Amino acid sequence: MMYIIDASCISPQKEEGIFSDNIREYNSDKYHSIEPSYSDFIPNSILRRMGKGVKLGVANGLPLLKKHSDIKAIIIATSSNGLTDSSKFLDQLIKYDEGTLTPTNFVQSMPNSLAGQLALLSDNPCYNTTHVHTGSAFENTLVDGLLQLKQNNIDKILIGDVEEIADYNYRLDIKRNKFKSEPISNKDLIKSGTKGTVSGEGSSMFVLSNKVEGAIAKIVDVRSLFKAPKSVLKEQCLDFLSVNNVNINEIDLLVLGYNGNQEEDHHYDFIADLFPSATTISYKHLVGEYSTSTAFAMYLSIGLLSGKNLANNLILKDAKRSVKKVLIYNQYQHLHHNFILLEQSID
Amino acid sequence: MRRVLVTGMGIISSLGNGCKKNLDALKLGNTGIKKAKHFKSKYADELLFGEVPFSNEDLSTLLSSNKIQVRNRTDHLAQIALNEALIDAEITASQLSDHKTGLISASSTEGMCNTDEMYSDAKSDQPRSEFIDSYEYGSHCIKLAEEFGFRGYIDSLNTACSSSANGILLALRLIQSRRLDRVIVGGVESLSKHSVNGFNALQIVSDKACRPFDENRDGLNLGEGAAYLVLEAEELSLNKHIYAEIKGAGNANDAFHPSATSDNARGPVLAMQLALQSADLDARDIDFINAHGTATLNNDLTESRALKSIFTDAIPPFISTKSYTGHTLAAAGAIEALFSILSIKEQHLFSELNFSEAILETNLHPFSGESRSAKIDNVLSNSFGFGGNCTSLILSNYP
Amino acid sequence: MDKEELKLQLKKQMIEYLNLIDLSPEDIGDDDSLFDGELGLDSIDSLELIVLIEREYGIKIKSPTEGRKILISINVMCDYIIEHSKDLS
Repeated sequence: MMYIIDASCISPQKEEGIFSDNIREYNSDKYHSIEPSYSDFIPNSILRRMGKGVKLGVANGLPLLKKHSDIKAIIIATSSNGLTDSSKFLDQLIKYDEGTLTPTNFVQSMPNSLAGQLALLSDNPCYNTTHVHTGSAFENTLVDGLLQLKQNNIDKILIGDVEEIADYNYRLDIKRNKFKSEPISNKDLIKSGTKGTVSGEGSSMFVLSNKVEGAIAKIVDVRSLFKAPKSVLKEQCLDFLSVNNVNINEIDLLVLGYNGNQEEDHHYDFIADLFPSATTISYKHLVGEYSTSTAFAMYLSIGLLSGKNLANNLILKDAKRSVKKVLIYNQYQHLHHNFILLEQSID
Repeated sequence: MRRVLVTGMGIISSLGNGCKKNLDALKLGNTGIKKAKHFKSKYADELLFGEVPFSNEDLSTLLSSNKIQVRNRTDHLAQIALNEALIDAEITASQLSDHKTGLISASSTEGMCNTDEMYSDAKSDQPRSEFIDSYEYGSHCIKLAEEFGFRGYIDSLNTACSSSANGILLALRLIQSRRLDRVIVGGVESLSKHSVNGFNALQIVSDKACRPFDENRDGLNLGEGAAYLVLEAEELSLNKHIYAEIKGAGNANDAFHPSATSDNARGPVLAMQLALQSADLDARDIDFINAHGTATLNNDLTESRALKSIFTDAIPPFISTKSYTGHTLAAAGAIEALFSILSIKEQHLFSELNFSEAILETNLHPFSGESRSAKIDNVLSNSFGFGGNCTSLILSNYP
Repeated sequence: MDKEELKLQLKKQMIEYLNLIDLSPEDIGDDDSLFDGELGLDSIDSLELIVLIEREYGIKIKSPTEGRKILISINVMCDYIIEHSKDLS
């Protein structure tokens, strides 16, 4: 159990677009984040070296670190941070045939460059790690966070994600037939009924505590599975709720990672059928598909748990229930299946 | 607190395939750092490497899996080492697929060992290669999970050179907390043009055999390999052969510079302090130190200062096994933890290679000369990575 | 190329290689200390500058230690380049 006491999000939607029907429209296969003015957060002497992922993550996470000076761990999930720099270094390597190369791209190509910069810029010497296991990376940070908060003298931590659409992984995804073959508006994405999805990016950061004071919401538990057939998925989902003393009918809101890919979305139909009395929503038409998108789903969910408006464009089925218990289910590339259980927090 | 024990180990490195080959080389003081035979790069002739002494075809034969997968060198190394560990610990198929069993593996190279295919896949309009799914971080881990049947908690960490050490720290906490009962944890790295050119661009690579903690050291040698430990809760290990206990671990951030350690080694000092605290040990309880010891100017000086800060005048015998294997990057934490456990199991101090003159400022002498038997109950193993990431592990004799 | 032209060119190249956002050549004084002054360059920048000199001027600086004697200011770098270049025109 962990309490969320603060959160911040940079995504392809403005804040009001997340909780209203005034959503930003996208018609291509790339949903880029709405970037802030980075030099408001980061001195130019440091900004000059940073790749987009690090800039996004620092702009999102550093204000939280400065606001909460007693953060004792920084735990980040990413699979793409550093890829642009890695790709630039590769370009140099080929162009100069392994001759004299500049080192900045290599140093910035490390996925943990974001976590390292957050520590450096906030002078934070505490536990610091980066999870990169694609579709379960964000859930792994939640587990890691849970374990950190059990350690002595650790009451507050920062966890979060960053993903960027790097030209490098975008081109690989094209060759892997990830995307829709026809342009489609994000407003029509989820019900498209065709193969393929779209690419997204963003960063969501959370300050977590083991104390309830000032809590916006509560993370009850998280569970990850690898390659689960439907029978196992059902059994594990029910077991997950049972060990946390939650009955199926108590779930008010089911947040599902539909991404508009007809070949994948049947997983969500299956889970949705287990919760006939819950409101079900989707979110990837706002932010696109990427491996740590459940971080955004959690940001959305805690807003709804704290009373923010549930916009019509999210709703797949409206059971008209007030939102007190939320279950997020997402799968990634048929391999990674993840559940996050959240509850309202009453301070 | 639930105790976490090592019931199986597997390794492949420049010292050979398997724990026995590696142990023999360590006892005899035989280095694995040589001219590369299989690695293709402009630097293959100019530099020395800790190369695993098998071609990709040899590795495929060594693995002899009956599952069809596209495997690159990274995958082969990981699967060979993990297979040895699982057999050693007598882990069954149903234990592997149990949701209370976890897998944590780290690699910074992943599929970058195939630089040419990666360039073609990512940059050109050429049709996709068979390796297209191998470049993403965590992809070797997915192949491990598919090969061996893991179904529960699977994780891949990337904190550069402390990655697999952080994996061991996380595995310790997962089992202590009872979230999991068993974790197979380790790391893998294969030589790649990306790494050798990257470290060379930082001008921290030596063209001679590296000299950890020597006044005349001039940089690291790159190495490759894989190592995995099977960690199980004490109550599940009662009928098993037990190598050691993971007694403690600590991670801290130096928060100074992306690729260099601070002058006062804040991060390394904190990491070692946290590891000792978590193991409920004092500095004087440590019998042997497996240092990070990359043989770069910056690391060995700052690590020496850190050792003096923690151990003052009573620094136990210490070496860096990177003089045997080279720097195996993300795999280093696991490989060196395994070597630390071998020293406990054998009650044997391994000796530093290539050392002749202590660093003038700190005047610390790694244990050198012939390796010998010694009473070893607690070993401290350090791994420090880019991004200021510092991790220390404590491996201990059991019970 | 005369020394003034070389200094200007070198400043432009430095801004590009080091991605010195918001700086123009006029902001870099010929005798400004590169590493101890306001520019605040660090060890990674020194490696980048070594690459710049090799790629743009064909002169190989063999080690960071040698580099520290050359990468002091624009003036010192220019003098070094002029001395070691065979043809700058």
